[in-house]
Amino acid sequence: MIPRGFEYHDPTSADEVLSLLAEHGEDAKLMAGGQSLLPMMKLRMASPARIVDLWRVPGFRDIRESGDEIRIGALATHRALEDSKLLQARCPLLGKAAGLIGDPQVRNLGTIGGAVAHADPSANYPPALVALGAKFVLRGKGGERVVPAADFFRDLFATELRPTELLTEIRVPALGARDGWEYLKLSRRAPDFALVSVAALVRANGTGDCTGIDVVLGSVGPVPLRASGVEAALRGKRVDRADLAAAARATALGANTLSDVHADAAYRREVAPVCVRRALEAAVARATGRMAR
Amino acid sequence: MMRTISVVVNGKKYVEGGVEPRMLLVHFLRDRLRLTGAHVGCDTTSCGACTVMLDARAVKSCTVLAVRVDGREVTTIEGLATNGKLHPIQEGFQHEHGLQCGYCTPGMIMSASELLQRNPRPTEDEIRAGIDGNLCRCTGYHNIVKSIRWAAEKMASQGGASASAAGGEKRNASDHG
Repeated sequence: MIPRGFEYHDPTSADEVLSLLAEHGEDAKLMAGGQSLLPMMKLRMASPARIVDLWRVPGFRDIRESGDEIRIGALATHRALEDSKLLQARCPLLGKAAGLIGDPQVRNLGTIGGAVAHADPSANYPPALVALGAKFVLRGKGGERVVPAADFFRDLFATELRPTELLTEIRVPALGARDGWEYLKLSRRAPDFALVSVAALVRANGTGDCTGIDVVLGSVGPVPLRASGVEAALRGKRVDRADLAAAARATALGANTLSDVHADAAYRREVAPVCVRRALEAAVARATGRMAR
Repeated sequence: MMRTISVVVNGKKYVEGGVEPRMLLVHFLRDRLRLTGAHVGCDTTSCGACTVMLDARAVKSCTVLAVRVDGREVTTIEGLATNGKLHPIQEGFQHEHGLQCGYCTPGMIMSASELLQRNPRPTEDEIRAGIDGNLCRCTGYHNIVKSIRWAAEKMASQGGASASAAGGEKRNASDHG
């Protein structure tokens, strides 16, 4: 299959990208790694009139520490995140989520910025980044704005990103040494999209009291879903003695729960609490030192 | 608008004009350069039969625009053997009967090639994860895994001398799309 014809631009700077976006508006589609966009174009699910290809734009690929934050260039590949020693040490949740995307070849080309901007409801990053409290840097002609991940995802494949803006950086707070974490993805086969995914962060103080908790599900609704009931059931409790299975049963999926040929909404409602329990068990085990961080 | 691209494939430089931006790398390799080792299987980024190395990274050439390889290096299955001598991974597939129909084989070997560069002594689980992006509908993967393990042992016994055959250590700063 061959995509429909398009006008092609391969600018060599971010400024040039922004000028093209300003000139062509919604006609112009940005291509980062192309691992979602190109298959959609081949299947004619997308037929953009104009492609602005980012591969020649230098920079935006580093993963670096800045104070208590890790700053990830939007063109960093999933592979770069998966292999990053910095993420393994300071934010392993995100590295694990990256390593479970697609397959090795897709991870070699696909980028975090492309995946985030694409906002596939079954993608790995959105729940992970919402749980982590990440922020996205959106650059336009007039300057930059910083949008929290929780506000960025608006609907299926729809985000805060304006047609004239470029996502340049993802900022993630580094995890503390005592923070328990887990990211897990339930899928039919390893390279498949998630049927349900869970990102969990559990912070406990010296006596094992839960001082912070984030549990966010992916692939169950149009945007990442925070499991507020589960978080409320555990906040302030002794996590090492908590009934995690009971807490996980507070997972409540909404009326807009995704339903498809591989997993209908009823199935997702059934397995989501199981996935949440497993994620909590791993996160609590890490928070209490019973599992390698 | 048509483009002219300049690319080194299997060590040989090609300058090709009249490349439409929508042309896919796999079609460029097969139809323009007549390198038909990379196969078109699913054509939807699933099966990995079209896998080639782009600047020492395994990629699915059905999901890369040909214009993106301008100024870069590509290695296909045709570039693995040196002076008529099979690469150890190719030998492994022969020795351990790692194929039946052979359709997936070039892609399997290119993925294995990247895997063994990254991780010269993979466990069986790591081998299986390394070929997550490649589908075989004949062998059930057992002999493919054995073939890659055979190659890893052979390459280790040669002191890793063969690692450079699949694109070497060269990494381009902009090689990640």
